[in-house]
Amino acid sequence: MKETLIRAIYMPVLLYMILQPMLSYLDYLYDLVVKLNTAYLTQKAAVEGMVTPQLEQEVINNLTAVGFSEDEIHIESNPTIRYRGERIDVIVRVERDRTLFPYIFTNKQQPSYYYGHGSIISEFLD
Amino acid sequence: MDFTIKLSFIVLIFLFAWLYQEQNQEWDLQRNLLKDANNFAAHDAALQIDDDEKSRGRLIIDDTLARAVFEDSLQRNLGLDGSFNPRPGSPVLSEVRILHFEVFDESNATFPFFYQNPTYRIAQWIYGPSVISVIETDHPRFVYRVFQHLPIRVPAIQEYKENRL
Repeated sequence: MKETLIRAIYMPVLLYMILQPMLSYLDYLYDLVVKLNTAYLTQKAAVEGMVTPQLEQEVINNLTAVGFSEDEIHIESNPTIRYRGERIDVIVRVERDRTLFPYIFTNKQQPSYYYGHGSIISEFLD
Repeated sequence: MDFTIKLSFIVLIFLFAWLYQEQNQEWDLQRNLLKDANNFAAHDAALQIDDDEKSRGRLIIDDTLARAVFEDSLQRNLGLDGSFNPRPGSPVLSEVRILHFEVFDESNATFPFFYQNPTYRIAQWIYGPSVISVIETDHPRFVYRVFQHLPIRVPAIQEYKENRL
C-alpha cells in the first residue's frame, strides 16, 4: 500500500520528466525561428528601404510553415521608405500560447509572445 | 524505501540534465542574438563613407564615425546601456564587450588581400573596404561551478565587393 502510494505520488514527476525536455526544446526552436526570421527581414529591409509587402509575406510563409497561424504573427516597421543613412526598426511578435510547465509552479508570468527586434541603417538609394 | 532512493537519484539526474539543456539552448539564443547584432552593427559602420573622398573616387570609411555608429547599433539591437550592460528587458543576459574593431579601406589597404587574425582565429580574403569586428559576452550559467565555460565570441566582416553582374 505504501509503495503504491509512493508510485502514485511520483507519477506526475515522471510525466514531467518525460515531457519537459521536449516542450522546452520546442519552445526554444520557436523562439529561435522568430529571431532568425526577424534578422532576415531586417537585412532585406536595409536593401529595400522598408519592409515591403513581399518581404512581409515571405516571413509570414516561413513562420506558418513551422506551425504558427497567420493571425498570431504581427510585423511592425516603418511605414515609409527610409533612405540611405536613415534607421529602420523591424519588430516581429508572435503569440506564445504554448504553456511551459515551470510557470505553473511559480508566480511569474509566462512571456505572452515570441519576440524579435532588429535595427539597421538603410542602404536604399532612389 | 529502495524505490524512493532510486527515484530520488533519477530526479536529481533529471534536474541536472534539464538545467544543462536549458543552458545550452540559452547559449544558442544568445549566440544568435550576438551574431545578428554584430552583423547589423558592422553593416551600419561600413555605411559611414566619407563623402568628400567619394567625390574624388575613393571609398574611405570614416573611422571615428564608423566606431560611434557601430556602438550605437549594438546598443539598439541588444538593448544595452552606454557601458554595454543589458537594460531591463534586454534579451542579453550579461555585459557585451567589443574586443576588436578594425576598418580597412583605400587609405590603409590594397585589395584583395588575405586577412589573418590569429587572436580571434579569423582568416579570410578581403575584396574591398571592410569593417571587421569581434564582440563577446559571458556564457549563460544555470549549472554553477561544474564546468568552466568560454565566453560567447562572435566575429563579423562587412565588406564592399565589386558588382560583377
